Amino acid sequence: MNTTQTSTKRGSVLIAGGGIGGMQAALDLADSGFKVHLVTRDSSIGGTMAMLDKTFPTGDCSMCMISPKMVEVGRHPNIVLHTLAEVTGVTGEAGNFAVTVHQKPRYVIAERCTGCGACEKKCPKLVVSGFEQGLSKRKAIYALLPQAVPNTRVIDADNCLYFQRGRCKACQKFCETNAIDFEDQGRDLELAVGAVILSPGLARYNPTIRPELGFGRWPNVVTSIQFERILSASGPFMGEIKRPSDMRHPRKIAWIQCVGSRDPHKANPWCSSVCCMYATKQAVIAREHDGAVQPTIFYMEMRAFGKDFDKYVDRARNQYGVTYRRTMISDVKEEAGTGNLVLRYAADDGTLVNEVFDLVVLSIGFQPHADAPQFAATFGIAENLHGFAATGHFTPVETSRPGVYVTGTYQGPKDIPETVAQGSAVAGRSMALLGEARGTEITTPELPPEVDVTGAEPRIGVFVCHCGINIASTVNVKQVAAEMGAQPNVAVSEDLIYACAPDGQAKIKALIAQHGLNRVVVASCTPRTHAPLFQDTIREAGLNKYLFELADIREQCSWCHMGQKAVATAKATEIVRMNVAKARLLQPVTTDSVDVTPAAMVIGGGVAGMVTSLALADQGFAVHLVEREARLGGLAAGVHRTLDGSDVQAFVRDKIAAVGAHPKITVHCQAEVDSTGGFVGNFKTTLTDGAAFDHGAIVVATGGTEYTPTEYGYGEDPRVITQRELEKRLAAGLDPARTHFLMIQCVGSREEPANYCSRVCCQDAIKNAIAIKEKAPNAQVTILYRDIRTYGLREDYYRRARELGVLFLHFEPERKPQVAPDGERMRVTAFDTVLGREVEFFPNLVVLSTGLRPHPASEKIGRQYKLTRNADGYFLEAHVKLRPVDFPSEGLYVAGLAHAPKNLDETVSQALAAAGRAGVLLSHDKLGVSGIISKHNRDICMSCLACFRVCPFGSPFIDEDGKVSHNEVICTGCGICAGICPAKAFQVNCFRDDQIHAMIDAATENIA
Amino acid sequence: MTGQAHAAPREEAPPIEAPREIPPDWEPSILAFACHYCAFAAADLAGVMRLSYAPNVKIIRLPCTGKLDHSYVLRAFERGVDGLFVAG
Amino acid sequence: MIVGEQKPIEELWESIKGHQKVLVFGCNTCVAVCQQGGNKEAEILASLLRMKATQEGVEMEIQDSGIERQCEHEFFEKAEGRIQWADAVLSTACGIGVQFMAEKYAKPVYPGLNTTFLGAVEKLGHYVERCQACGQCILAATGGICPIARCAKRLLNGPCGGSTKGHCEINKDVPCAWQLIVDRLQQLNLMERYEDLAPIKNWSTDRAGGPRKLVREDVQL
Repeated sequence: MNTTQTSTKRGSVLIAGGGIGGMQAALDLADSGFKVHLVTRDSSIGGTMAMLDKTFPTGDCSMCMISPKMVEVGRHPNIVLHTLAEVTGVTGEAGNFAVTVHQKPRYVIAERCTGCGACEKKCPKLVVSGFEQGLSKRKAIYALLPQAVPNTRVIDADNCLYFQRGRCKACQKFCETNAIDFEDQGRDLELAVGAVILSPGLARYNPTIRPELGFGRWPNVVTSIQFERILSASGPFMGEIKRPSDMRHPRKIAWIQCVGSRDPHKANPWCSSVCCMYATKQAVIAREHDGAVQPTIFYMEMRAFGKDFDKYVDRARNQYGVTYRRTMISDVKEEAGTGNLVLRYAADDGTLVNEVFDLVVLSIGFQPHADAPQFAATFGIAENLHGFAATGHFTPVETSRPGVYVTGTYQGPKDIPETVAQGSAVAGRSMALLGEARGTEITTPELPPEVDVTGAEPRIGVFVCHCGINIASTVNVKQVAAEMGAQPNVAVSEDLIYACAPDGQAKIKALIAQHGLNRVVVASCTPRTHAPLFQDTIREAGLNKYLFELADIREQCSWCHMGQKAVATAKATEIVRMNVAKARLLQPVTTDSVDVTPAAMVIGGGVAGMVTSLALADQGFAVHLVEREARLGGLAAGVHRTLDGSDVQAFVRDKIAAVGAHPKITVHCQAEVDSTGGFVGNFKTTLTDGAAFDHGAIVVATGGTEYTPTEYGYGEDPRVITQRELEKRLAAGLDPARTHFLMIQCVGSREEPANYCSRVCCQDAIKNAIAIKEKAPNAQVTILYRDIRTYGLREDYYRRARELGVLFLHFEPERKPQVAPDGERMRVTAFDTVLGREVEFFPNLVVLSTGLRPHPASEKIGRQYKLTRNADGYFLEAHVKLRPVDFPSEGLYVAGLAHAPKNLDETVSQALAAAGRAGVLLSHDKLGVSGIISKHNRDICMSCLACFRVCPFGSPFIDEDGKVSHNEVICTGCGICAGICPAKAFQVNCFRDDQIHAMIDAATENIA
Repeated sequence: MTGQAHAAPREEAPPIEAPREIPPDWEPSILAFACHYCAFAAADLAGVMRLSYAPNVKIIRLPCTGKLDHSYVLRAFERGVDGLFVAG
Repeated sequence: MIVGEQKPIEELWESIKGHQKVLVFGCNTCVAVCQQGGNKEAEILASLLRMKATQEGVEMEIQDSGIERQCEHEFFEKAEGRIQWADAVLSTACGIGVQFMAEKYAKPVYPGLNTTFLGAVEKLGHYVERCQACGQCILAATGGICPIARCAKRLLNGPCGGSTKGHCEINKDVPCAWQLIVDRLQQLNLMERYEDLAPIKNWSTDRAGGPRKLVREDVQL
């Protein structure tokens, strides 16, 4: 645990906050050789994401995504969890901080506790559950959530009968491992770390501050987070949608948006960024749970600004029948006797309407924790105006104190993928700061030796997961488990509530030992996400990790056959039987490792590419930055100021200079990739200018282009210009005095063929509008918009623009403004939805807010590296929520506009994230090769060359003997060789012909 | 397959069997071979989106549909499967 | 390499339909490389025939097996059991293997392939004829391009009048062998050889002289 002689920097990082952002940072750092102290106030990690039911816009189950990550954090040998703990002081400086941590007593000795839950069962005291948002009760000794990590219960001393009245101790009496310790005093820790990451997340607005909405008064007015718990399968109502007053199933449900947000008087002035989307998601999921639900969302502006968000809202509206009403709710009253709620609002024609709903959900926003000022003082960082951590536009994860970084919502409201990306970004920043001390404070995990199973009769363990009620409400899990128990070679077959939770994993390990199992089948969710977790579990129990099969009975059975219990159970039984049949034939697989070239190639020399390059080079890796144009800078070269007034030109100039001066960065301008061979960790690239180099990672930062409009007479009349042109003229000294600027939003965005929000145009318009009005108050600015999407803290500028007298007028896409020349001026007619009639403007200049498009080069790059793009041409990340900068192909990462439209600060965050993720890869000397590869039997091969000809990766080759051999390192295990080989000389590990035949036979066993 | 010399004798394809009458309550048994990376993921997505479909289809995961072997198809049909869906 | 092409399933069915136990027997050398008659192809064919039998409502057993080469005695030993079990064998070897096997066993051995030619693998799935095994190679004189195998008329002294724009009159997709030869000789700067008159070819080494036989005195036992 000593630092090396050459470095005074520590090889460890403290992370304050155990939500998804902190967890991502912890995993990235721990995976790349840093020791991590993860400090969280709660008794479990997981944060807000663990409370959510599903996530937008994919509808993926939140717990199913975060639970494996929580387990991974909990079991990572380089991560130390400090729960129920808070940082009390930080001294020292970047590279070497001394942090004091106070840990409150848990009263349960973690080392002894098995997490069996007997104590909780026997505890007589019921307490309102904070995690369940007051909708149900827990015990005084409890786990924060069923999937808690660490899976050690905690005593709530404020409610414990023993602590309050001096008697009871039932928990101690029934604890078989003597794990209860009433004398626990808590403790103070002194930790020496090199960097500090802040990921405390945010609190939620308390809606009782707005009594007219009735929260706390009318039982059927709930908050959005309460509704998440109502929807959750593991929530208080087991996923059944019921309303609190009478447990009836509500039909009409109303969501009221912006509760606690965008309101400087009674609430917070900022936009919370996520409520429009989570309300849409809740409405969609509510409909899925109960087809009779009729959702209505009352909103001010639909801020669906993220990737594929508008399409999600369209789907909610058109496929799920969600009604969207753009109106403010003035008050909510309960209807006497029914518990129903009467909402009063102005209809489209301005008349006041009373509408009755069964349930009302308040979309409450985010706000900093009550003790945020103290938190900031403890860490010695500056706060911004609103109590968030102060960061710069171009340094979105740096606090005012060097070596202290911030990620997630504490930096500004944001959604899960942006939080995750920032988690990787702060990990990358810490790696750059502490690169030389990497590996100095960690220990390598010791795994038990692998049991030799050669020749042993298969002894299969089958574990059928309830997944809460995700599977169990449709599939009779116990029946499936019982039927599998009767299958040949099945030594044990059991059901588990959550196979992926620590207790489920512990049970699997225990039964492997107890029954001498040598093959394991888990029947739960998709192997695509959960197989690695279970493979690690069986490896820890001494089994080769390829002696594992995962039967997907959730995504491919319970979720698509809801309400058909008998057939779903029969199908689940068959699916598991097929996997058991395969499992009988599983063989252990040994894997090789290969060297990693500690260098990266970054494609694209815009802001994303330059920031990524610098961040990677600062970590000590060689970087080849490839730019097709003659100069670096990309799209930002045409931007002058950001919304907050930061100087983009200076920033771009600085970056170009820094890239040029960095000894680790080689810039290749006017060059494109000619070809890349090799594989993760070992790529070889040749550029069109002839340069060739080796590298271990590829970051795709090909950027975007600005849409050149054809609408509204652009190109025909010189008085119709774009925002970028206006910005340029303003920067060049255009005097806006006594000029009328009319801006039209969403030009070339949010409509076919580019039906997505370009995200930057609202900010561009408001930025230019403010610049005009500040320079010349007598200038007139009118903005015609569909929705103003100044999300997060950007809302301040929207307000500022209104205060400066900028006129905003809403239009619908069906009735677009009409633009025509009219003498010296232009004439613009628009339909005012509030007035209900046409209005006319006579501006001097019409300014079009044009959207973004993916760079045309991305198509070629996509083909070159076999990367998928979405319908709009933007690259698809490996996972929308949890792997926002990774590509599915190992060793490739994405950053910037190539991924989706975004603002400059977000591009910087994402670029730092890509550097963080690539850094994790490049920090390894060696990389384990996948076990799923094709194995070549040279003895029976007749060198017919069919494989050699069809392999897309070039892994079969003609060897020195003139016969066919196989380079397993390049092999991806696709098995095309095995399909074509006339000699059957190729077999893919875990997909061998005998194994697939066994599955076919099992699948057809019951066909008459 | 042999190009010029043998192109002629195979010009007329053998007549396709006339479709048989399908009994009204007949339920086909379908087996799908799906690529781990795309079609299997799509099947997962169908579940995530709660798209309901008939339960008489079972999926065998392959690392890529290139891994599909003639023997899988023939074995399945021989053993009474009525339809195969290969997706990747 | 010997190239073969599988016979239509109907024809194969006609051969085997009267038997109770049929073995589909692969040959894992030449015809395996052209993906027509190897052990894997035999497995596929057996499966197809089993389904055919089911469709026809005929009770019969069809199995598959195969050996490295059906043109050598010793390889058969491994598959002796299966061969003995069968009433009839459907061999997916070339015509050599089918006959060789038929000579060995007192049971019907049917051909599964039409043996088509001696050819090369131009690319995967493309097999082209290059040699007719005439027994007296003239490639030295023709720039390495065989007019016996590649000229429809087997002309030995230049093209016929049907050579049009480098193509043969029988099929415009077939290059004229003599055009190829001339081009090749030009390329090699050996055009003077084109002037050498080829004498009348001795066809007795071709199969016109009856079945051929070669004995290596030095290696035979």
